[in-house]
Amino acid sequence: MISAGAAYAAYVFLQLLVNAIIEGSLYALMGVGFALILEGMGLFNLAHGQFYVLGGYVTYFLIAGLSLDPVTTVVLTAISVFAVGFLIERVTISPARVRGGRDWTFPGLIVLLALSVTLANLWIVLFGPEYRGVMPYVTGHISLGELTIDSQRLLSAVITYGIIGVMYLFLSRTKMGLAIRGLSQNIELFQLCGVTPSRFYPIIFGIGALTAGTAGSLLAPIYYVSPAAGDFPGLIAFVVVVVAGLGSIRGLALAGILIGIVDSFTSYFLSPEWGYLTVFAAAAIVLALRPSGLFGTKTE
Amino acid sequence: MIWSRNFVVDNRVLIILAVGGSLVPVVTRNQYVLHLLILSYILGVLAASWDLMAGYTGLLSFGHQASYALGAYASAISVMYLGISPWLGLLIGGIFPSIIVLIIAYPILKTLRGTYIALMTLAFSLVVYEVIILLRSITGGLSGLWGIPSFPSIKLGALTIVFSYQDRTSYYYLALVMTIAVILLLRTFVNSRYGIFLRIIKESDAVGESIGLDTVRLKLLSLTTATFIAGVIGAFYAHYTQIITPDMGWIQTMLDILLATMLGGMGTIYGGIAGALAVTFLKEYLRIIGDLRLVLYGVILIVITIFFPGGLLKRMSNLW
Repeated sequence: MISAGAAYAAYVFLQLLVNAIIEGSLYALMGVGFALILEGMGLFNLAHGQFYVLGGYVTYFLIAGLSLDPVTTVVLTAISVFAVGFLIERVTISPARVRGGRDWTFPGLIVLLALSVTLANLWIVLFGPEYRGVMPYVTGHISLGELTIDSQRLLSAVITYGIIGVMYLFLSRTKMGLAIRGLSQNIELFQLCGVTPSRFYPIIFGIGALTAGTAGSLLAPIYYVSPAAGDFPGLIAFVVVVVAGLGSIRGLALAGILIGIVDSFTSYFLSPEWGYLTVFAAAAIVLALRPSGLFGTKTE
Repeated sequence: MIWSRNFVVDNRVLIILAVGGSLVPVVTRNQYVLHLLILSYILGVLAASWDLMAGYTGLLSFGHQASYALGAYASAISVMYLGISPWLGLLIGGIFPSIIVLIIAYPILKTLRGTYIALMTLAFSLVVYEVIILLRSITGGLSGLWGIPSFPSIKLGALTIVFSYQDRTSYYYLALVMTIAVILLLRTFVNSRYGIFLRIIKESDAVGESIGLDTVRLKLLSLTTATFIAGVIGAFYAHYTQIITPDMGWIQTMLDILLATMLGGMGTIYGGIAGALAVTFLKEYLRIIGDLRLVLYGVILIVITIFFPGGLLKRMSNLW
């Protein structure tokens, strides 16, 4: 005989767990793009959150302005954010690398930090400070016994995990994906094979931006779109990569869920604003105990 | 002899700053100009101390603004709640962030190197920013702390130095003296034996270790010195403006520091001061274009970083 209190506790626990897995999908997708840029280019994409915001705005204007259907919208958003990422790499990071010489990561990181603040201010100039809502792609909710899951959240999470799966296949099965992994493992050997690394950098950065932009597009109906909406997801991407370590997409997905659990449990039992700090504390503990991450296959 | 010709040549920038800087209030008592100059000196001190880490030690810190904010809050809170003198507050403002940074940086510097430092320092600054907002019962949260006491007046015989908002001349000279003191300290540091060790570590940790240097300790020394300076100048800012908000510790402040250093040149100490003058006045006069100013500002930083990775002035002249 289970007491009512225990049953309620179990219900809360399960509901929080489901929420964590759904939230975790966003964190994992952000982390995958961040890790790709880190491995392929040796740079922390400090402007990662801004591509999330860009994805949100493109989605908003495609739906509100052109009233396109959700599937076309997400695809068009992904393509346009990839294009912007590609261009930004060509215009800002490539010249910094060419001119920076051996220590180019130094100017590279300064450029990225400047980009993140510049883009955040650009959104305010272009779109104003107000919050913009996107109509949900699907409405209603699904009940599993006592648990209720919002259909839109479930859909976003399923698509997000789907995209992570596609990224995994891309990196392990396609020629381009193998080239990117080769580049991240041994750049000298890569060049010896007769391939130019600089050809791949814009593509890597574009794909990294694409993952963040797609996350922004899928979450636009759940959270509002605003100039500062990308700050938290951008930070979470760092945290996911620190917790997971480099070298495995599965590890990143798991780390995303773990952080989702930490975040949703602190938000429920303490308050949402503490979620931020506990997530950082968790990352700091992992970093202190296992600098290469929980699931990392590479050592830094 | 200290007043030899070499002394003058070696320290010409400092002498120009000291003489020229002292003459400004004689020429103009325009409060607006004095205010902008005080802000320039504050930013210059931040940039010069950041240069010690980035330009001399190779520690790319994106968390210097956190030390600045921590110093300001530590001093303001201890003066407001414990009623100590703001002069002592300056010292507390330096010590408090130094202790925190020492505790946090030791394990990080032991395990991580290179670009990871940039990420960890940025994360540190964001946590500090968040904690300042969360502890709203002490820090006033997002709206900040108001009515921070100013410096009490000093009596030197017949002369009384009063720190008042109507006439900022005394604040101006205090800021100038602090700036010159910081430059002297940093110049002495980087030209000493330790400064050479730092430059070796910057080139290569392995080389440093191979000649028997304790790289972690040297990095901590550089980091703590820079943090102390940022904390003291943060405390000065708190008692000067008498209002502080968490925005002091936001990334925008880091962008100011970066732009000042990149304009003036990395690895020069002086460069940051020159850059800070340009940045502060540029920012002020670009106010007419509204929010677009911050976008333009970031673009300028990106362009300078791409074309002059070592800094603009350093490339343009061999003055220093």
